[in-house]
Amino acid sequence: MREASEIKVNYLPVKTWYWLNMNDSKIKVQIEDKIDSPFQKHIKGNGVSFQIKDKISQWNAIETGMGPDMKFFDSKGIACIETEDTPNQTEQSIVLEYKAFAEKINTNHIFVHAQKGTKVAITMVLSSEEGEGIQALQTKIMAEENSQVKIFVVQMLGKKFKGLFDLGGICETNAQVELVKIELGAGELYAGALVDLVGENSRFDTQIGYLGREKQILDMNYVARHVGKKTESNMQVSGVLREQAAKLFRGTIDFKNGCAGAKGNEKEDVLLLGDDAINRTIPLILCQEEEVEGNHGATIGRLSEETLFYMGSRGIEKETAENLIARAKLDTIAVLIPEKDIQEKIRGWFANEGL
Amino acid sequence: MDINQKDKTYVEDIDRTIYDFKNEEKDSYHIKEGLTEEIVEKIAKEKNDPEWMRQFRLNALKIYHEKRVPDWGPSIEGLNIDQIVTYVRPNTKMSADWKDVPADIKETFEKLGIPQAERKSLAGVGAQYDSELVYHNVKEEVAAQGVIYSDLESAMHGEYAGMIQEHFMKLVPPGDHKFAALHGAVWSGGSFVYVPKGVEVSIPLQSYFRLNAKGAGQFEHTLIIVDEGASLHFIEGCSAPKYNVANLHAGCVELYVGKNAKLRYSTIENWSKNMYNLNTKRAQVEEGGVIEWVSGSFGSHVSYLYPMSILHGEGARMEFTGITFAGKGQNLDTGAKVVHAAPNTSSYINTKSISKDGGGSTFRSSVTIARNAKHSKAAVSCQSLMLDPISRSDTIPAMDIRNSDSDVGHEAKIGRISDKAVFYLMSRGISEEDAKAMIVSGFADNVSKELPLEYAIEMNNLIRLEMKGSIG
Repeated sequence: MREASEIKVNYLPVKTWYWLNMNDSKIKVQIEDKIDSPFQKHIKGNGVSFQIKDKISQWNAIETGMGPDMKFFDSKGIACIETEDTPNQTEQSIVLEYKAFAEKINTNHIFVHAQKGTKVAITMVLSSEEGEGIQALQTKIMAEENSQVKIFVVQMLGKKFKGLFDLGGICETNAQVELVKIELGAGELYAGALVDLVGENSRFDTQIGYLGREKQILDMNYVARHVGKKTESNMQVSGVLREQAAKLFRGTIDFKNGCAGAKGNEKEDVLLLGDDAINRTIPLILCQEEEVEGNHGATIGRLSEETLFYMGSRGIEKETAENLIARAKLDTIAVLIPEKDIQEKIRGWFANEGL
Repeated sequence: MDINQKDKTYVEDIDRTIYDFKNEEKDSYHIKEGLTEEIVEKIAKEKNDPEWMRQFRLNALKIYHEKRVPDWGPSIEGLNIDQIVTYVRPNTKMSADWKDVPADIKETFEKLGIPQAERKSLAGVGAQYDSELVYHNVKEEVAAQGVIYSDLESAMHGEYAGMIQEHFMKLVPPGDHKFAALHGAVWSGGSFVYVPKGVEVSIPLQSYFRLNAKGAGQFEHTLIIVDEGASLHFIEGCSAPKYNVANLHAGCVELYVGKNAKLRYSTIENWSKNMYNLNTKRAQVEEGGVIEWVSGSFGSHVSYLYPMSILHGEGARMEFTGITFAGKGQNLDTGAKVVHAAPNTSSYINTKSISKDGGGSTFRSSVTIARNAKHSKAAVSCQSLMLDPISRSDTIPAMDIRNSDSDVGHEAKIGRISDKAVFYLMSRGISEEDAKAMIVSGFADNVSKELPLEYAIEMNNLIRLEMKGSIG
């Protein structure tokens, strides 16, 4: 086993005071032999292909949210999901279920290519064996004109696992990328996404839900880069922090010069249920264009006294009330996952965790 | 309506002509440019520093050389400390009567409206010209209440020497950052204010800083202690003529707000566009105390300015109201910081910014709530108005919350004024032009309404809003 290397991920697009420790995050990893974690795939529809390729020509041109150091996890073989060139067909879907090996560095790479006028939905379920290990998953998306790409991610890694989930995308004219993610597991989670809205009227929507428990670390970096005119982005992040969980959310709306008519919205709400939980948030709006609308809002806090009183008056104790509200928050994301059996898996996970 | 074809709102640039006059440099002492131990020793000697201050300066100089230049904000490449003259003494002593101030210096302050303001509406004035105070006076009735408003250097040798040594650069230690260390090494001028227990100073005190010398720096230090139950409004103003070489302002303000005391600290910053304004302001607020910051940033080529409040005692409160106007050639990085270090504390940050003609404005903030600061509340609101596509406006707010019993809210908005707002007013019978004027005036109103009338007028003189065509 080689000595540990330190990689830097989740760069804030514009630096701020160093004492905040939010400009980036450092992870120590032992970069040794990487393996692809096994997965099962289920494909619905005849209009999408799945192949493992050694090389993808557009791969390096797509930037990602976690940054260039993710190249440490490069491995042979990229799973290439490509829609057939038949516009206006019904939405194609693929489900990928990964199970990471313990005591290993599991790496997987996915390239999603949605051809003009096509639609594809990809659901990824990530779990692992018991024990320690790393799961690194990098997804890059090329959404051509008038295409729609939906990515649903359910992360249920073991408590001793380190998860690194990286995403990058380019949207052409009228293309849409939607990312729905629910983060439930992993002892340390690093997640980043960066989508370049290059084409006019392109769009990036994100909905993230997370539950931080015990001593979990959640470190996120989401960037919507508006390049084309009348582009739109919406980021909604909703989470619960319990016990001694620590979370850092970086969310950036970046309006580049020339993106007249663009709109970006970012909203975060955090329910703090642990006295020792640490919540850090840094929502950025960067603007080099006059004709735009950018908004962000964050609310961070506890269950209100009124809510607890109401619950108490119905015979529901504080801890039960907290579990109910936490579950409800995460359920609003879980119901967005299109596969009912996967929704059931999530509910099973909630039950196991006492929610 | 095609957004590309609309006429845009035009906001006239700030009229600098009233500030952009230069006096001949008739200083009695002009130290060599640069920053060496020899220069710091000379300053200490010129000022007849007590030994502890001389050592303090030398230690700060050491720290200055160890610290790196910040790389997270606007570039200060154009600032070469080796070319800055850190001490320029004007050819006069400090006076308590405008009659005794040399004519050209007095005329400077007359043009800026300081003596008139003093007569009409101030309890006391300190006027600094380059590195020294040239005028300092406090009204008799205020002095009779036991209020001390003195130049800092005299106070260091008098009855309050011990108090000053106890407080000087303890809130902003030289190790805080490179320009705090620079300040510690070469500071000169500035004021000391002490308001005794229970005393309410009903009309404001003011300091005005004028930097006349080309290529010079101003490093004034303001130390204010408002004792238990007392209250004070302190106003700070500054300006300089424009030169084609860099000037530097690295001042420091330390404010101590006692138990149940209140301090409002208002600043209209209007340095010239060759100025590097690297200023540090910090307040510590005890139980039940209140600090209110009112800040208008209109000048400087580059600004780094983030007044910080430490809510040290239970129930302490902070309110920050600010406006930043970044025009051509300006990169203004401003904001606020607050640390909730005790239970039941609250803070509210409310800022506006306007960017035009290629100017860059950054709002940078941090809200920290410590583990023991239970039941605290914090809210941050930031609105930015971009008036053309060649300017820049960034919002970088950070929150670090370490207990589950506090409530924090944040909102930020960037863009142009909504056409719907204009339409709404027009549907109520208001003409389009009046509707536009109303909306844009309202945008800049948050700071001016918090200032005494004379300063609100000065601020409104700085921003003349000209509406043309549809809302941009």
